[in-house]
Amino acid sequence: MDAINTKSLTKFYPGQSKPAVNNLSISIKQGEIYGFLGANGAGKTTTIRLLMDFIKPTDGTIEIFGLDLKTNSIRIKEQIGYLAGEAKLYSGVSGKQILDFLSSIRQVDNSYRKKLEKDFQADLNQPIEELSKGNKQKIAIIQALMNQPKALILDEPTSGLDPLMQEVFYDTIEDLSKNGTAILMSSHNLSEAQKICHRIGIIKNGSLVHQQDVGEDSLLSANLYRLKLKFAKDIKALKKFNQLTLVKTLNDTEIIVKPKKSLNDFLGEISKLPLIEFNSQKIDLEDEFLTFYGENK
Amino acid sequence: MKDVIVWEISRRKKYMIWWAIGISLTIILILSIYPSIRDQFKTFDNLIKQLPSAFINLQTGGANESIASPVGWLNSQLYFVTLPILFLIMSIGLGGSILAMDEKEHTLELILARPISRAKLIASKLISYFLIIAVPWLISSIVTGITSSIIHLPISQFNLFIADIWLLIFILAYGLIAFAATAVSTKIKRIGTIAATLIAFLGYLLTSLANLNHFVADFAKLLPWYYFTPSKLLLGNLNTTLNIYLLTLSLFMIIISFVGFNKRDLA
Repeated sequence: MDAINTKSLTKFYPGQSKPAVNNLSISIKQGEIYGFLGANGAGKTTTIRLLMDFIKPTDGTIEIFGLDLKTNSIRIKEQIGYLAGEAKLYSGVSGKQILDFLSSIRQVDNSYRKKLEKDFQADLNQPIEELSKGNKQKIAIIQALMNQPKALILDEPTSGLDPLMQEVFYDTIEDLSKNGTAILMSSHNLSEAQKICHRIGIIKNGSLVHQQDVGEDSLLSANLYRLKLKFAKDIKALKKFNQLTLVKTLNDTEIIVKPKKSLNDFLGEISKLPLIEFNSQKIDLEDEFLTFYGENK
Repeated sequence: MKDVIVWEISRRKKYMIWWAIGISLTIILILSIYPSIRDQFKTFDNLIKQLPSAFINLQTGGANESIASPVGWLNSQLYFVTLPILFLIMSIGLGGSILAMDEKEHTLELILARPISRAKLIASKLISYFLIIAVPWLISSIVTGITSSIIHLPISQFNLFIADIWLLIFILAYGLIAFAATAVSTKIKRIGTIAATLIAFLGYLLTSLANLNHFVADFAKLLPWYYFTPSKLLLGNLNTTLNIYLLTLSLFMIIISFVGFNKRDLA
């Protein structure tokens, strides 16, 4: 059974002619870490707020643990952890007071909470407004994870964390994932997504434009080709070819492309142009992301 | 729900304490002047009578009692203007922010990400609003009672208490207008606070001037302040019209808060 499942999810904000989220269908299995990638304003946060029932969908359905969110919001939230995009915490109180309060609303395992506090080296006694962004983020992360949720919804979770704490965070959510927690995390950090996510989805203008596994045998291990052509006009001609996808333009005569289907067809097309250099290189998530957000889209 | 209420109140401890201290000191100051007025009753009364009636009405709301009398003094110096204005600033400010501020800072999401319904959240906020206002109100009531005893103000403690109860219902209703606006929509939250303030200010102004002009009186009758007659309450004459008016208004505001917040998107 999918832990998180959306079907044709659509959200129009009042007064907007274009949907913030358009016909979005995703499913996340238990134990899966799903990276939700997209540019600013692509619809990541709107999707997350729909999943949390903070805003209501215009159309479509959301099921979490097989329950319809519309009618079972309270039951679902007993088993969900949520982290907002920027650490949104009460001011005028300490981190400890916030965690105590939030623990009183939904029971938590105190020993696990203490472990998180220790692992993240959280400064719990200072007033929140005196903490740095990273230290606030640690408290925000602890409140999201401390009930050991069965589903975690995280909006840019490592924002503000130093590299050491990012590693602690990765280890923690990998442990949760191994214990069956389904995790959806949005991120701008593509290397992070490549490192810890099992699967990624790329959202653009509210629509899911691409989904793929992030594994050794996935498309991400496929090759890209770096081409150096003789003239700038050759690049323009190359862009009209059908058998390749433009990933990145390096300069007037250099370009990174990805074959669409057959390598033979691809080679056949590029052989028509005056090639100076032709190198293969490994595709990474950044290239993949740029395929959808690059110049040719 | 209890945890949210305790949290709301604990976050506003200082707010409650300072309001309670400020209002109590105001009450003590005003009441402590009264013995010197009482000793020069006739001189003071003659002095007041020389003032324009519109000016006197702004202080008394058109009550018949002399300002120098115990009821007249309490009415003009505390119950008709000073206490309502102080508590209205508090109630409208709190009503307009207790939900809206958390929504603006996105801390509402910390609670709503947990298994608590929107209806329970609104109920918790409303109860917190009531208690945060009620604590300074209760302290001010006790201070009024004790101070009036100390200065030997010849007035029934029961009547004082009744006037305080009516005052509480009066101020809570205005804050609920501001609260309901923030619960129904994020776009009209400021309008709610402005509307509550305008209704209060216009009510005070028109009620004060109502007995000078019939046209003004007709408008004043539409507003709650017109029915707020502390001078009558202090004499033991209960005014149920005010309470029916305010309780109906409050109930309406509470209902639209629940319905509106349940249906809308968070900011």
